[in-house]
Amino acid sequence: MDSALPTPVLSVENLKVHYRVRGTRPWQRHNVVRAVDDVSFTIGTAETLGLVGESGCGKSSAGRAIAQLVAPTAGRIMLADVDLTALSPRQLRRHRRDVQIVFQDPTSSLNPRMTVAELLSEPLEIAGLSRTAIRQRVNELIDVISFASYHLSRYPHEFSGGQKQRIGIARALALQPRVLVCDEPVSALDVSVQAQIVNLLKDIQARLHLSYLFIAHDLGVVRQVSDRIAVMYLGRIMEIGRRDQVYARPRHPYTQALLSAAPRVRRANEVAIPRTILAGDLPSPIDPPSGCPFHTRCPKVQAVCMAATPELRDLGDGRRAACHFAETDQ
Amino acid sequence: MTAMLLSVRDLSLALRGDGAHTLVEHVSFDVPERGVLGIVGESGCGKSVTALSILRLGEPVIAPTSGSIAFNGEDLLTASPRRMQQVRGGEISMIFQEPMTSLNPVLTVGFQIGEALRVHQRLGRRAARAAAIELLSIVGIPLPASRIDVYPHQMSGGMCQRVMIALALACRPKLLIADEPTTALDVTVQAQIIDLLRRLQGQFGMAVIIITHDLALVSDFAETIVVMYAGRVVEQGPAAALFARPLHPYTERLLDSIPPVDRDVDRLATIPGTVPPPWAMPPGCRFMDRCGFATDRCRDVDPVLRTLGDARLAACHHPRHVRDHATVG
Amino acid sequence: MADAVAGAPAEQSRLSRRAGMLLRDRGASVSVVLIVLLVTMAALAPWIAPFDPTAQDVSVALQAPDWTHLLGTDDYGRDILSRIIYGTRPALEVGLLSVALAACVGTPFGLLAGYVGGWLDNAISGVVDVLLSFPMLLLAILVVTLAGSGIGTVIVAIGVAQIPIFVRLARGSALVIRELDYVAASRSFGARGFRILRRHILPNAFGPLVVMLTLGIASAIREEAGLSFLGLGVQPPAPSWGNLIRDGVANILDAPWLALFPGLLLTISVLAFNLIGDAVRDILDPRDIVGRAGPRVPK
Repeated sequence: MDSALPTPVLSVENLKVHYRVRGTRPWQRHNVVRAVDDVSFTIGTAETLGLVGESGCGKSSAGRAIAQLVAPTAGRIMLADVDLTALSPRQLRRHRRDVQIVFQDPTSSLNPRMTVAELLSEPLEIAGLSRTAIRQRVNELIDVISFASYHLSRYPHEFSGGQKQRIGIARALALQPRVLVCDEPVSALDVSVQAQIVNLLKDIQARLHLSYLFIAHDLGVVRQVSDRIAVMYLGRIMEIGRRDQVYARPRHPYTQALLSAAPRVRRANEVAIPRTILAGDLPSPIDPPSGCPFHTRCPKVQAVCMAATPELRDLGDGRRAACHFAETDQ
Repeated sequence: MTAMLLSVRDLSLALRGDGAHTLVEHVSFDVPERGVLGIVGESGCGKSVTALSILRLGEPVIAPTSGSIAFNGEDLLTASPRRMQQVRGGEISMIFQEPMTSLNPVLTVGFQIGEALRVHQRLGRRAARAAAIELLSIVGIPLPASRIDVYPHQMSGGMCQRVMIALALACRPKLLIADEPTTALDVTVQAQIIDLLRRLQGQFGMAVIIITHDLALVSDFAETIVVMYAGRVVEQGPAAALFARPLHPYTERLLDSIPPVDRDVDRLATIPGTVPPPWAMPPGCRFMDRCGFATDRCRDVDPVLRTLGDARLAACHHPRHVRDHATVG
Repeated sequence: MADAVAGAPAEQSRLSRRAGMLLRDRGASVSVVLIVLLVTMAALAPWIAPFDPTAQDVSVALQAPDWTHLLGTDDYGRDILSRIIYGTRPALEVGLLSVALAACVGTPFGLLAGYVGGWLDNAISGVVDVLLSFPMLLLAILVVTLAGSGIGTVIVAIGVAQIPIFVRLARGSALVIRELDYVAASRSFGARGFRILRRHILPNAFGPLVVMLTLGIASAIREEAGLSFLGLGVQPPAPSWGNLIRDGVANILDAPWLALFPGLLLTISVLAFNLIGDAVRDILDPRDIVGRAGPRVPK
């Protein structure tokens, strides 16, 4: 890595998150779900890394591990110079404010029995702020999300999905985090509301210089938000690089398939893109395929793919892909 | 003009009971034989209840208050319960959004498909099983003979949806209604399912109505699009023309707010405001507060769905992109 | 960019909406009336009852209902109506106090078991399983042997017997709620277990608990009558519906009114609380655990 670059705000190194689940067969005491299996990336100040992939790829688990909601099985999570994984629970608690999370479901992410004021005050109370300081901060927060003060005494069920998501965003900003993990923040919203929330997030980032880990499955949304993109499949990163480049010239067959499968509206004078449809289903994260995890569905599979797991190799200009044949593409 | 397979005319639905209110009003559309119709709109627009009411699945809570649903000339709204039971699954089939929960978890896949065959075609057990295996292979499930005795929880979402489709096709219906069939699925699986539906539509010569909030999803598959907003149809027309030159401001704004995959935009277009709640519908146009092109006429007069050219309809006083009033699209 | 957030008027408060729904259910409204009557009877017994319930007058023993003694007299000449009215007291005392005991002890343990899981859950669930394996009668006999008979015994015995229900219920709710995102959010701010239990788990676990409370009262009233019937509860001459029925059984052929009226009132009381419980359960839809409002209409 270029040594002239400043220390990234977030640096994830060889992160693994494995879950133990009950075995399905009588002789299996328990199985291991390799939700996140050796993932590394960095995020700079005021930068957004989009993390995409389909269900079971581990993007949500990675996000939760970074937000310290799930304990990593292995690897390091560095926040500036502090290694979060090496801290004691007490020390860890002090750093909790630096990474906050915005959840996917606006309904289940807000306690239905708390008013907006109480929801926004909770993180500040836990942090030990005085009542006046809390009131002031809450007023600042509702300002950020364009709410009025009469909304403070309302309950979540009195709001629409988009408004509830705004409350969730305001709550996540309460402790002035440096990194915001956005776990599918717009997936549960209508298209026109999605756009509002995405614009809000971008505005907030510009004002507060926050870094985002933007987890999503909708490639259109991810494109508009991200500076860089990482594509995950079965717990591993298949490709990572700058947004424009990955979208324009994807190097990994899975990225190509994702982009090809993404539905597009054809407006005036647009040409239909030939689509490659991927065969088969996602393999189970309990029993991932040998070698390259994507080989069971890859249209370009060769013998070596089943035998050897490809490393995430540097292809220059910040691009890396985990494919034996990445350079040969275009 | 060829006779339509399904002809919905001026359909209005209301929610009965506690907090009763109107759900949809004056909905009309036609589906020709072998045609593909897409009904699109955001949550609460009424597209799903409209689809459910074709098979009268919402009753008695969701009841039609006016209009007709003519299937092959027969008005389904006045049909007897016995006749409806014949129609459901036999002549019109439906698949739903959540494939994992739409199948009975304690019955095998083969039994559930076979049930449709036994009920509608009176097949014996062995004949039904053979037919079920054939259906599984038609919907693209590998090794169907070994999958016939599998339970739903042992299959992925994509496979479950294929089983749902097999179930729906068991009796070779003339019309298939798909209510958000791919919303719960991953994008690569979504593409597979749409591709499958397209293939089967051609192979079986059936008409398809696909209901979705994802306009991009239907842009290639549907021939005609019906756009719904706040319980009304606001625009209708051939898909290509509608996407290229939307007439209703809502359609246009909706299309603009879809984040594009292939290019960057500085700032995503949004539609300010929210849908008016059912108890507070304005007297004039329901989209007026959010439109941006509204005039006083829009405030006072509720626009009616009218023809604005070649098979294109819009409910707007000031439709957009109208080249000239004679021919549009 | 600021787009106006729709300024809808504040909704009718959930409490008043629910109270409205309660009153519209006919079974529930009748039950509410009955319960109010019962509470009044118990509270105002000294003023309502025509006679002293323990006053004996053998000259009028075993009289059928007439205008002086509206429900007749027992074999000691005591007025049945007065005895029944006073019998409401132990019924409601036991009903309310034993359930309160069970809820106050059972709920915290249940919430802890569900939230913390692991060995704590195993331990608590183990104790609950042991308690459940005891028939309530055996438990009551045990308590009586240790502490003597009387209303206190009955309250403890029935209360302890109901603890497992509340533990299980609370545990189930805790298991569900702790997986919800708003609990995860709280953890991400650094909230510790106790705060999460108090602020998030308990308030959202109320629904099923309230239903169980009303059904538990019904159950407790019935069990109290049973224990008093067997002589383990309220001791004569103090009246309780249970021991009134026992006295009545001895004379069932000559004086059926002795057992009939207490039995009727017992049945009606249990029914009233059961109906309320059902109505409350219908209103407090489990969807309220995540607070989705409105009818479930497909879009």
